Amino acid sequence: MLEARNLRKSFGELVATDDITLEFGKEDGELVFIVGPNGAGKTTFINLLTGFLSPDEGSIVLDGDDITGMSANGRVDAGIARSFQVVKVFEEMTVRENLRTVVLTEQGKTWSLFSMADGHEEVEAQVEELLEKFRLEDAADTVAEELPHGDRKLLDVAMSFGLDPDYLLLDEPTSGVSTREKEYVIETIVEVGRAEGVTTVTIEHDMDIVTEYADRVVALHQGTVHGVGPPTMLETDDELRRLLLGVGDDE
Amino acid sequence: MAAIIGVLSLRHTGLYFALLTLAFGQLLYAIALGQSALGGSDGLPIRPGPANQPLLFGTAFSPDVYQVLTYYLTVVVILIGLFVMYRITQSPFRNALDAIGQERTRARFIGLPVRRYVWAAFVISGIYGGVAGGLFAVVRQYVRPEGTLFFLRSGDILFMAILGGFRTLVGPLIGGVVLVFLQDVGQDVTQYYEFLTGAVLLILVYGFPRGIVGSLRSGGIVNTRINELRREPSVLSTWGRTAVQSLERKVTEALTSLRIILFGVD
Repeated sequence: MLEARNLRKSFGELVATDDITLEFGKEDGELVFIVGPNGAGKTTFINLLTGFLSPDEGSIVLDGDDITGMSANGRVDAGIARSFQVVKVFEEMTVRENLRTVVLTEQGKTWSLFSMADGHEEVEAQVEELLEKFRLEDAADTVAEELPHGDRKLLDVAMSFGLDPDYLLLDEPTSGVSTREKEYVIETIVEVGRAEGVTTVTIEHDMDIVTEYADRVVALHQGTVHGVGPPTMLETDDELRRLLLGVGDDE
Repeated sequence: MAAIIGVLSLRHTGLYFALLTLAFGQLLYAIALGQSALGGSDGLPIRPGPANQPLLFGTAFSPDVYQVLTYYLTVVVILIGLFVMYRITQSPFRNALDAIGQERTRARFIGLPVRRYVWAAFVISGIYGGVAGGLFAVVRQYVRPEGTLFFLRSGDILFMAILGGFRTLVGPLIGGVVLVFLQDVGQDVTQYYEFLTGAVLLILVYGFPRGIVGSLRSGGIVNTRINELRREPSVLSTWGRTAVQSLERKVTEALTSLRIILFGVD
């Protein structure tokens, strides 16, 4: 279980997250969606959990161990992977090379100076599997920066999956993706996540997607937890509806 | 040595890192100059003593034979160095370094301890530098601080890399050959040969930022242009027009600036 305990982070005067306490993964493979208006502290919260930022107060606990002071790469080894709102992939590598780099890292092979990078059979097998799962086979040899936006998003997520995480934190995997592609992207993520039993925490602005796929919804507002509940909360909580109304996709 | 300096310098990136390594270089230079045990500015012969005849693998050779032998020794070391580096560029380690170079943040978030990898790369280049320095001493038979630890020497080596092209295997080698050639030929033609290398550097930085080897590669600027030319020879006139236009624009700008400076108004 991944827990946030009384997390607080401020940037100067602005309090981005204010005393957030939440738990994820009480049940393996749950799909949690984080919703909230712009500036609610959603991305900051993910940044705190993954070690991109360190909190001013509070702690982060993974399966009973305090990991608040752990480095970002240490947390990846511990099983927490993330994707970024603005796609961060290795732009000059092909899709296959991107995934290969990830899998090599995950298997601790990157200190090998004199083996061939593409000569590790287990690694190659896993890369092929990832390509297939995320339906990127056709794009396998395309350089990342030349991919269409939806595929770039998928690649980013596929890379996070390649790390074999227990917890996957996705910062708006569908932002900037056309409505037609959106469904496809999120469906792929949900499908793979369910199959592997990965606890997935996703920031999402599209309420239709949240309603359709969420096991649990966390609503943030002005850095605090507004409410936690089933997706039906989006229908029943009038105040939440008012807060989310008119929120665009771009932050 | 690289291991220690690496730890101290790699806390910073970019310009600060470059300045720090420069500072360490100057520090070593100052130490070498100041220590009489290291010969001060006179330097040290590689085999001190009255005989002063260098040995190679424990045997003494006549100067002529020595020269030929050291030449071939250098060639062999270069080939070994190239082969080792070639293997590294095919290895998973290269993937990690490439990842860090292309997107440092993402590299951390696939679990790479970034600083440790950069440090390792720094140490590897330190080893190459050390081997090169050792060879230099063997060939020259005498080591002076000016010729080795002075910062202009690092500049030369950096120039070789830029000239040949970063992120290429044989680039720095070709860059080295071209630079030495430029300096030798330049020296014969004019005493301002430094001007020549400077001009070449400017052309490179503005026109061919990927260096000689980088530009010749597929996707490099030379190939792209040649392909364009093959497909549609008329682009030549477009290029010409662009060149003339940008030249005209620059001249106008310069004249305007001149007018403002001279008369205070445009």
